[in-house]
Amino acid sequence: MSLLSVQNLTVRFGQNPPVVNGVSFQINKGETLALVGESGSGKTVTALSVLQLLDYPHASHPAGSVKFDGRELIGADDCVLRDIRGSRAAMIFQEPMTSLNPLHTIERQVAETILLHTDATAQEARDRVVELLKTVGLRDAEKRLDALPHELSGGERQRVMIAMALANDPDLLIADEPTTALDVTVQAQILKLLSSLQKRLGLAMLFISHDLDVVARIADRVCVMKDGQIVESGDCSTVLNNPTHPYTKTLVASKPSGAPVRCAEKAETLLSARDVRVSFPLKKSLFGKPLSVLNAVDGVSLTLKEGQAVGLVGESGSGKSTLGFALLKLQASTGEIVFDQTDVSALKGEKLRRLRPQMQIVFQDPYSSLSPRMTVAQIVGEGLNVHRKDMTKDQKRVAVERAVKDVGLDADVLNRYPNMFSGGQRQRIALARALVLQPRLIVLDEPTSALDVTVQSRMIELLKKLQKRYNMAYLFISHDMRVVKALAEYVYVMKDGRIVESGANPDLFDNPQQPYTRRLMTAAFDN
Amino acid sequence: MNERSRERWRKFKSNRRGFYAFILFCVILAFVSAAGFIANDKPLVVRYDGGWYFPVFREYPETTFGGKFKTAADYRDPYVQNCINKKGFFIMPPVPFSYDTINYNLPSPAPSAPGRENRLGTDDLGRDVLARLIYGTRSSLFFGLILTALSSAIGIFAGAVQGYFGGKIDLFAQRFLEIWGSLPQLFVLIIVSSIIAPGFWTLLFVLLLFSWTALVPVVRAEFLRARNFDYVKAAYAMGTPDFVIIFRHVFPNAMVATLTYLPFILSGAVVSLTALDFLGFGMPAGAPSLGDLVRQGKENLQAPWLAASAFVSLAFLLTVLVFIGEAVRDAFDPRKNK
Repeated sequence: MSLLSVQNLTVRFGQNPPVVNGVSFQINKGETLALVGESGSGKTVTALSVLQLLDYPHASHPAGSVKFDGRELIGADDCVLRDIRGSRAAMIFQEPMTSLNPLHTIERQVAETILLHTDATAQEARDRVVELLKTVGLRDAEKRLDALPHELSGGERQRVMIAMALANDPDLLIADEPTTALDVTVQAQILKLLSSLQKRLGLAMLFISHDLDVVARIADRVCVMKDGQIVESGDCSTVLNNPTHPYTKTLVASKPSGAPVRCAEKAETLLSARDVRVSFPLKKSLFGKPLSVLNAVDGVSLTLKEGQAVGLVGESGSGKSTLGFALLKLQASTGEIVFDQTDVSALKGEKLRRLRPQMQIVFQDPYSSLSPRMTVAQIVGEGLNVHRKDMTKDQKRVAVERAVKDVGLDADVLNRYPNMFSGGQRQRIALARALVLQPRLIVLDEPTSALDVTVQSRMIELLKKLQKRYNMAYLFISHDMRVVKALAEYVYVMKDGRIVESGANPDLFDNPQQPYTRRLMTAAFDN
Repeated sequence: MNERSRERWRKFKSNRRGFYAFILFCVILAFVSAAGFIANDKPLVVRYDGGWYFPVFREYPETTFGGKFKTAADYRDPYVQNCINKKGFFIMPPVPFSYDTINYNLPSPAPSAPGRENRLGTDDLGRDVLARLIYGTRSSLFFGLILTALSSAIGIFAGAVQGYFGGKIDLFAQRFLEIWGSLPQLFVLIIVSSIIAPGFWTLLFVLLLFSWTALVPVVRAEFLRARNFDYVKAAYAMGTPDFVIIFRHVFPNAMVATLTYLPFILSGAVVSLTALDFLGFGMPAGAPSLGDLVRQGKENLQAPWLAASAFVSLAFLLTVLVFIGEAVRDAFDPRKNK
């Protein structure tokens, strides 16, 4: 008999149509089942309803059953549920930054579940906590029992979360995108840890992810979800290698691929930066003199040719976004920045403003980068109102319509507000806002990482098409080697504010020199 | 009106108490704005000898209506009334007293109790309480509205500049505000009123000196938050001038906090004018004001109609403003959906 059996599960919120509709799956002891799907497909809601963690009675189950070890959980008594939650079935959440209480030591937080569910004494609980933290591979576990969450890195916090989940030897572990918020290299470590723990302890695991590569590494069986329904399920390798449902096919096919656009052989240098430094004071003396500084960008030099796509790769905190901002003069820096034979590092005020339309930026988060109070036409047209006072109203309208068409949207979107669009469409609007000024350089700050996989690959295709059409140069900032490989002709690898390695596209990927680059590569490509 | 404002208007209306308070406030405002037609010692219309006269707008000498003197006609004088009635008629406003009309034929010594002629009685100089209440409310409301408009304009500007530019500007402006805020407002007012005779505009100016700071912290905080939004950065990267960014991209974020504060600033302004009048540092002697009426009520405890009418009207006005403020706050609160 299977450990967890979900039959025909349906979830609805209020009187709205159900968000999860007739989902069924089983997990046996010692087996990993992955739920895959894009955001909004209902996978997290499914996971939460297994432990009955939804906001009842706003949420309801018009149909279906969830049986854990033969016991029905839907509509079960609070006592029954409390017994199971945290003890026989545990959950790991996506965001390690917010799922630990910042005011308690990690010992207290891990010991809490032990003390709640067993009769252990404080000393026994303490020993168990040390054992658990060692199991999840936290360095110097004994010494760090009194650490507070902010003293730990993201990966270490996620390890503590896993330790909490394992505290009472659960039979079932539910992991809701446990690696999404982590850096790529850390992601690989956590996945390795989860799969080894799962094998060693014989856990059953319900693993939720949007990332097919992650799923391929960890899961035995996979269920593909779309719009609240399971469209395909089966053995992991079968589903991923021979998908039958059209949606699974697009998912599998939408891995970023293809070669980058090459710029002209004799392209002029568009931007060259020498010894760029950005530092933030961490501590100041009474008179405002910095006592210690963080060198976010520490002497970086790079060049971009006209029409060339250059990738800038590194983990979070490596200073790649700060460097991008500094090159556009959005962030104070020292060093020399030459754009189109003008030294912009000394430019100020009106002169700098006149140069701005030639260099634009697209941000990571499409939800925060568009003013919610302006229509698409106003957002896209704003640059024209500032810089092209010579254009008539009609000319501006034509230019805006063209930019919107360029990014693959219809002209009838112009009078709508950003909240009516999906993430991918919003990112297209942000791109149109940059395009309308006909820039020669666009800094793309992780433009695809907030998007779903299928949307991501379409966005990359669009970027390449536009690059070819308008001969624009891109500085493409990303942590994802796969995306960079598909888009960038030349790649710089950044670590702790410095460029550690650089090289042309296939060479660097075929033959990385630095261990750090190799680590990034393994995290991205090694299945 | 776009969808969002329509939604807010709907939410505002769904707070019944606040919505009716708002309607009531508009009615009161319209009513007291027309004070000259409601409470006046001059007739609205005079028909005399085939001609129409409008004494509310123009002054006519007694001789116009067949009197003897060339001085302005006193329409409360039975002699003038007789003269007009011989060759025509006149219509008095519903309250036939202005704020400074002294009723000399009182049934009892001033302050006299409410009766048929003075419906809320008279004050200690024999002036009609109802007329003074109407004119007093008018000056309180106008004073409050002008003060609110001016102090929010200055406060928003100062807060916007501080929050948007930050750095040294913000640092020094904040220290200035701290020093400014610790000045004793009342003593400054006493000193000012001993140098210049206080009037409507001088009082407004002096109160403005202190009230503009009310909105600064709110707007500054919103600007500090919003200046780091990606769409503000994007506008900056586009080369948009600072003041365009401030008003088009950042200020709408501070709008909600600002609008929520306005009714409360208005009621605060009404209260401070009343307090100054009560203490005798307010409007010049003889000017109608709610504070003056409260003071008279305190000095003539044997005439409860003075204190009662002042208290009821003041309490009513402030309650209405607070109700409106609550409804506005609810309407702009995105967390309240129903």
